[in-house]
Amino acid sequence: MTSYLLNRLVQSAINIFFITVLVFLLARATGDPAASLVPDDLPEAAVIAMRERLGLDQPLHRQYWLFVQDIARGDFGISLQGHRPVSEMIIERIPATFSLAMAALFVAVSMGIPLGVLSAVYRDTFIDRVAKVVAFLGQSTPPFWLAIMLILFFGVFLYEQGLPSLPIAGRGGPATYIMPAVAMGWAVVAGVLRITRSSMLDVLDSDYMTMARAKGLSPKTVIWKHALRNALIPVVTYFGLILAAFMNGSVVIEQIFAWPGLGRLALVSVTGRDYPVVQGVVITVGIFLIVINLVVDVLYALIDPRIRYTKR
Amino acid sequence: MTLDGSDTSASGSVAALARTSSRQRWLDARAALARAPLVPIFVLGMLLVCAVFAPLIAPHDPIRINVMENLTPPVWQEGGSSKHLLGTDKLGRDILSRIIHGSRLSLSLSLMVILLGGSAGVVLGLISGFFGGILDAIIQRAVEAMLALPTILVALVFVFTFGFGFWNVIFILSPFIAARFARMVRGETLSVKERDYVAIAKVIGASRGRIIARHLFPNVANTVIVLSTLEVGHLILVESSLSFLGVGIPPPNPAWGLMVAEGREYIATAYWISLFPGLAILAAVLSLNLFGDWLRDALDPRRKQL
Repeated sequence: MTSYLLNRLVQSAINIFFITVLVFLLARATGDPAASLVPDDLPEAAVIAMRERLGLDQPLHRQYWLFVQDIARGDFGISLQGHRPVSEMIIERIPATFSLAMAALFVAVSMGIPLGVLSAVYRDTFIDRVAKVVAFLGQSTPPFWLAIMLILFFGVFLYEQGLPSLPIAGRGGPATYIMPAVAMGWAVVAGVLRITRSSMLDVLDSDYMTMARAKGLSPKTVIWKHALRNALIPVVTYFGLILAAFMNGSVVIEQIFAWPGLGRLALVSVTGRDYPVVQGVVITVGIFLIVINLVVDVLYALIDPRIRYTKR
Repeated sequence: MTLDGSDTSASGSVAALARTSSRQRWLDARAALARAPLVPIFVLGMLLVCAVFAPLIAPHDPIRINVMENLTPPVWQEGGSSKHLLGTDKLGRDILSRIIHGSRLSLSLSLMVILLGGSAGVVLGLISGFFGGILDAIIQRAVEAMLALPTILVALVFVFTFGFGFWNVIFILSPFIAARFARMVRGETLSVKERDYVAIAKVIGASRGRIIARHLFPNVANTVIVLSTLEVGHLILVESSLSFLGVGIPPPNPAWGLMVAEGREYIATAYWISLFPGLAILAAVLSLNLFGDWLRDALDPRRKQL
């Protein structure tokens, strides 16, 4: 157990090192990073001051060390467009992205788990085939296109017909969450469904399921209580991947629905050439995903002792 | 029991085994072919034909602007014309011709990434699995670190630094693909490595390079083929997302993602600008996924999945 935990910890540290080095080097790949970190309208003195602050006259490893210290303090510098601390802008945007991710997770889980269970229980029947179609479609639909088609139907078409329609942009009441959450969650339904199905199939084959049936429990109790509870353990490990998918998806989906979150902040900053913000968002999101994955790995090892021995 | 005697009996039984298994394999292959997904294969065939012969098939120049005919609806709709079967965009460019030419961009970009990233990944995976030890540890740590990155966000930083364009998209996506391939191939190599014929090759004195090339690679090739098929689909989705965001393939190229984005502001009046390129992406990726899924079962029935 300890060696497994240690292994995961070391890997997480390496991952954090990797993403910080990557962003650090990219900032320096095109010449003078001080020039891209200081607004154009400031005097030359500001650029010189920034060079000093970044330690550009010092060897690369010293520069990296300064860079890491800033990150550790949560200091990503000042936004070129917003003229205020990047960390402030990031913190402001977190609730929007987080709440959208939770809504999308709800969509993915509420479709994926029941369909996964049903397709395992009714293996090779019509239901299983429907689930298969859903899984393949979910994997293959471009999320940005799905979002626009949702807008076309629920925003434009229903509105033109004088029927109740959904708001097409912005974050507000629960109704504003529906389209972005579906567009983002749909891509993940396939994964949740597949994992639930295969782990459910394993569980249904096991001796304790035969035992539960032999005890005379109703099929409903056997499936939805005894089996599902055990089948959900592998699904939990998938959460790290789901969150990664949502963070990638947020760039696209938030852009389409004018959602005031981190993904949109990153894209707007790339187009506006606001490097401090771009690097701040990428490092924050990157480290967040690494930590979540570590937590998931540890939880999984605690729930399922086999992992500690089999997984490297 | 002489060395000679045991040798002959062993080779005899091996030959018998090989006979039955090759016959069995032939039967399996026939059964698998009977289950081949015809519609996806047809769609992929069309896609390939479109990509290769785009200029011959497309009725119009994909980037020629003709404002006089802009926002023409598809042919079956009022105001549509048979000149533009799927209608035109805001600049009067023919949607159908753009989709046909777009297949060229999407496919060539994805195949290029598979070629560059995939082959790097295969080599790394083989080395990692075969040699083990410190080399394996280093490669696997790097692969995991790569896979922990949020692809689209990292692509944004990369694009910020180097600008966007066809080749830049290829360069940023290749390492991600290399990591996926390396992980998969390493796993396969580890299991193939333990088989008798690899041990025998070692005993005979085959060089390590020869063992990797002649004994390991052919056995992981199936996995590589299946993974490549599925990853082409995945790459089409990622590339089109980047192009949609305006950080992938630049306009006026007829990239599918870009076309969907161009139709966004006209969604209330000219839905066809976004609808059809998106359907093209969906059809291509869905077909690749279905085909890859069948291929996996056909090449390796043991690993049947959903």
